[in-house]
Amino acid sequence: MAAEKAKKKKIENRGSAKGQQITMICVIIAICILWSILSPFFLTVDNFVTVIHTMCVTTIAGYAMTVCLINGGVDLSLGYTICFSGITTAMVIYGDGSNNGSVPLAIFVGLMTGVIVGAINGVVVAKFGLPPYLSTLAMQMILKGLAYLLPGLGPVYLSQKTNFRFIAQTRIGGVLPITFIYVVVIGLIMWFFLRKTVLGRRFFAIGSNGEAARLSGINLANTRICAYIITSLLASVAGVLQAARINAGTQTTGVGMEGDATVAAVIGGTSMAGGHGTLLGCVIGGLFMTLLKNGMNLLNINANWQFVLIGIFLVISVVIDKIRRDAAMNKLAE
Amino acid sequence: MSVLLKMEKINKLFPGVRALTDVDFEVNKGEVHALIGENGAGKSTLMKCLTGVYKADSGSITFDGEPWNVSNPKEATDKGISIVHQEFNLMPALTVRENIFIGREPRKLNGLLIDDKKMREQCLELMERVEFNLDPDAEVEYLSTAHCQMVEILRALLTDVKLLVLDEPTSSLTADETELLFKTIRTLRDRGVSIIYISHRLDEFEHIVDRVTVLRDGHTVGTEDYKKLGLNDMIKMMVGREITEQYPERHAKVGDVVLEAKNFVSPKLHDVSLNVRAGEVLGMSGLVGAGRTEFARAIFGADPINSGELYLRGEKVHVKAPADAVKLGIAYLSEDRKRDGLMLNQGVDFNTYIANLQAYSKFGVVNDKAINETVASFVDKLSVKTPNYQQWTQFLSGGNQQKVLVARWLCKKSDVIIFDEPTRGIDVGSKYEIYKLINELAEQGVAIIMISSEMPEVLGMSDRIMVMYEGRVTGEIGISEANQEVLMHMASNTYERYKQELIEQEEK
Repeated sequence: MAAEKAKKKKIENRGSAKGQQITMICVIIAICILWSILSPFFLTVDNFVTVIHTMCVTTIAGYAMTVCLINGGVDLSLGYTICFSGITTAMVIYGDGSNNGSVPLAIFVGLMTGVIVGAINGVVVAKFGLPPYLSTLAMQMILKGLAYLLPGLGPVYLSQKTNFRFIAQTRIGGVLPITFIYVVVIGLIMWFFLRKTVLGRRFFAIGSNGEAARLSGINLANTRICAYIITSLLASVAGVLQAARINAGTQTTGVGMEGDATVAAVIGGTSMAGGHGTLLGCVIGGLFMTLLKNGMNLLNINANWQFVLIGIFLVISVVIDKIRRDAAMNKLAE
Repeated sequence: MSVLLKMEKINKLFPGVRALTDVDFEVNKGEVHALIGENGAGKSTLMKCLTGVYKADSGSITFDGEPWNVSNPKEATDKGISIVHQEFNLMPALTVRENIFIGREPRKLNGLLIDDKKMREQCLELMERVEFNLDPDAEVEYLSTAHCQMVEILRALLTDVKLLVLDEPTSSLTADETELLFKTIRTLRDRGVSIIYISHRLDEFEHIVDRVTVLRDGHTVGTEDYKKLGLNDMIKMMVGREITEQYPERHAKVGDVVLEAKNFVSPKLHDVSLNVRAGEVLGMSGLVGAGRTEFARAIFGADPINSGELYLRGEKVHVKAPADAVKLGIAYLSEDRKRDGLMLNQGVDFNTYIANLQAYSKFGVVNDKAINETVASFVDKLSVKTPNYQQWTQFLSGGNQQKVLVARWLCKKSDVIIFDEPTRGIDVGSKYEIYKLINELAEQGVAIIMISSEMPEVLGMSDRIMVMYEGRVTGEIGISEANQEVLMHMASNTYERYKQELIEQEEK
């Protein structure tokens, strides 16, 4: 009996996110080796900093998408939430051009931008019953327009005299970018929230089976709205950090990030069907995406070809994952 | 009159269930033949064996003098037997003629294009044949229920159909619409089409039915001319099901009224009320679609109502959503565990504690240790068979899934528990355990409402039984006076007539 239990446990793990993560770590190591052979620039401190920083933004966006996927939704406005919150933050600091705006206030405004976007997304999905694909697509278009209209059609470049950029550009010990600390801290907070709080666990419940959750006494609409708010809040964190890193709010920052975030989440083992998700997987997925792109940049591969390759890779990895999961499921069901 | 269809000694065995045993069934040319029986008597299975959905394990079918052998409903239609289901299968955005001809459109240009002109002509011809007028170009989504049904019937008649099966055709029609349907049925019969008429509405039979066959528990009870058969005879033939299952004894003390629902009105409920006492099991009987689930869901706040009041221990309460009901200690176990009961891709533990997370948390943070202890105690108490507590519920058997749902509401400590078809699709052993559990709950003072379509189960488990028919309560009766015959009359809305006939008999 005990042996049987152990066997079942093993099969279950093969079908779970954990199995996928182990595979991905092996792939990441392989990629690192490959890039180091192909490019002399890969193993340099400067490149290390770039990789870590890019990975951080992707990973935080991935956290955001993970929350959304767990609760059974999807957020197509994620990229423009990053973009738009970066712009509002930059605008507060820029002020009338004197660059004298309060940094804490600016960060607060940036994050509140996310909260408002999330609340609107949540209300439209949960109260009016629009499919998430449609409502967040509409939000994407709205934010795209506003990102140009609000600052007066151009990017908002900040002067070097503000301290804003240091929240992202500081390096600990001269090497480790401070954003890495954010990823770890936010990751831990989100892990605690999703795994240990009542609200977090309800996200899993409504993602698994919304009607069953409602009949168990969970307020479906309010819980969904919370999920969307947290998603967009995390996206605006990524937006503020990205703005600090480039010391500007531009209309191209974060665009298309919903794609990267989804890839990071799914590669890490989060289910598109809702009810399951992992933050550690997000970190691994984010690292993988970043390394892939970084190597291709170093090898001077045309940016458009990079998109093609990443698209192909996403399909392959999800299909392989599905086949693997189905096989594990069948074994488990027998 | 010559025989059109002859089914002899049909047997069908499903895993664990003998659905049909040596069933004989015969339909003459040009007759309307009613096929009746309780829920689960085998009517649908017999028709599925006829139309090729299932293959009978043994037995012979002869149709129009030749052996009948089809493997799917389309083939059956091509060979002359069509079925019109209770649930319509139409494409709302398409027109009447497109729906009728779907898959069989007349073609032109070597089959490349659809010949719309010819289709319309054929459509009008077809409607003339059954003396029925509909605009062939009307879009189906704007049609009334009765007209949708006509489209279904027309579709079934498109091929040269000799036998038409109508499954519960009047269940969603108004009185006028029903009259229209009967007219069509008579027209068809006069043109030589035989009809198998499956219905629970025995009181309508006098308008159209020629002969009746009664099924019970997968056996043919008998076939008779309708004229020779009274309502009472039909019901007597339908019920009298053998009670083979055992029901555990209960020693619960029935206390005060806990829950009272007064005058609930919604599109599917017409002024219905109920009350249930502490320690009491109130059985809710009725035929499928009588509105029992709708009533339960309305009490639980899962569906909106137009009006109605709910009292808990005499105090008026407002339940607008399931969350309100759960807070008040009312629980509802759905009839469809997989669709809206369980979170299938979550563990046994998750499914058990999810309704009661708040109680195991402080400042919104969950106390996993307390939860795990509670989950373990309930899973063991209900003897849920699972390799570990994290096992996804989709891998459990039906009985164990039901136990997990029960565990969820035990964990929440509910005062009123509504069981909707608690033993549907679960094996006999687990059934008995569920019954024992219901009794235990009653003994602890929980008020229980049990919806069930199995009459023996209702009779074996309830203290009191209320019966619904088409969104109305047609009877309420103590267990001592209840028997299958009375329940069946109440469920068919013929109880008043039945009582009168009894009185007349006594006077004689």
